[in-house]
Amino acid sequence: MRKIAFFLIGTVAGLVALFSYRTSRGEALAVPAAVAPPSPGPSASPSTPPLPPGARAGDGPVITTEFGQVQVRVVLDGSRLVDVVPLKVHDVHAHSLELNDYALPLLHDAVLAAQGARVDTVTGATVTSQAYLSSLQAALDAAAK
Amino acid sequence: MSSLRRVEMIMGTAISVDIADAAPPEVAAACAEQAFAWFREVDERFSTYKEHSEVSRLRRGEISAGQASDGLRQVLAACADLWTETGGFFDASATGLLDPSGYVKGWSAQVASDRLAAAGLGNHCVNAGGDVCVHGRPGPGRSWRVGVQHPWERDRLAWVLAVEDVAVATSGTYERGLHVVDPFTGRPAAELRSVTVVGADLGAADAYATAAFAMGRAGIDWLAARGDVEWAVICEDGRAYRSPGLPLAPDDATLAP
Repeated sequence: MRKIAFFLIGTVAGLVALFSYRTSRGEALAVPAAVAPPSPGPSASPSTPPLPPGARAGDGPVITTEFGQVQVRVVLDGSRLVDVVPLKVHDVHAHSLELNDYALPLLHDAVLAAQGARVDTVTGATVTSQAYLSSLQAALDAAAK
Repeated sequence: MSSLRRVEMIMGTAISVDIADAAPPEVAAACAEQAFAWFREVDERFSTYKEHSEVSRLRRGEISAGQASDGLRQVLAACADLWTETGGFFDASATGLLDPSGYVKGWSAQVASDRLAAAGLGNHCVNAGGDVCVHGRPGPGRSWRVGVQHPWERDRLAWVLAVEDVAVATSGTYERGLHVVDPFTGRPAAELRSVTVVGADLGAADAYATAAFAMGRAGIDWLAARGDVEWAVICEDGRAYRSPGLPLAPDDATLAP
């Protein structure tokens, strides 16, 4: 029985890797990586629905795919597979792992500042010749001549 | 230190050349003129607006890619490499017709900067319509201070960088509207407002900025995973993101404790 369950987990993990690529990054981050207890209760992961009466759940191994790490929970009613819940899913992009590792905690919700400071030049979206005339860069160029 | 600063309108935008070396004025002026002659030549050959340009002739099928000049073949090969490297998001044919302008501007400014350095003018800044190459220093002990245009307030800056010997490219919609197309949907990319990439080469930095822009928010992930560039992104919702290693000036306001 246990072997069958883990065979299912492996197969399902592969399917999840194929189908879950649109799951949002926030959701992926909110889910704890730790394996939840295989029974319903208040300690279950907050993003997973409560188990139906009589059902039990088992968490699969964390599988590293080329898109990131994937882990699923299967819900069994007796020997019948009744649900598959993604616990850990990759983002739409292949490089989400790197972002999860270091970029998001540092960068999340930074506030855009508006500052005036002395600079030598300005980088920005390409201006038209006309728009240049009223740009910061034009003022800098005029001041330097 | 004497300084020379010239501006010309070429490629439909403004190109500024700032030479900070203490070279004889006539030498600096001659080198600046050579740089502008190069930009005019590039415009004549690669403009999609000029009917007689080589790119226009290639688009009309009057010449084949095999018959193109060495310069154009080099540009097309670079665009093909960048298409692969960006997973197809930098696409010189995103609108259906070949338009290598997204690479040509940065590439030509990088070439101009390299030529100034080779001529002995190792301290200069070339700004081609918002894409910047800096080399050396603007003065003894100083770094080039490059402001990142604030995408909503025209006379303000979002960040201030302090850099030497790098390329800084910005892709944005706030000057000319929604002109970056997602090549996979054919629709204008609208999630991001501004993408700035700091790297070693302006042609590549410009292409990466355009590619990330076309990706939308996923472009932030894509930039973060690259080890070879620093970056700063402003989304349409006003949220700002930057790489931890972005070379901010010590007095940048976002560094305030």
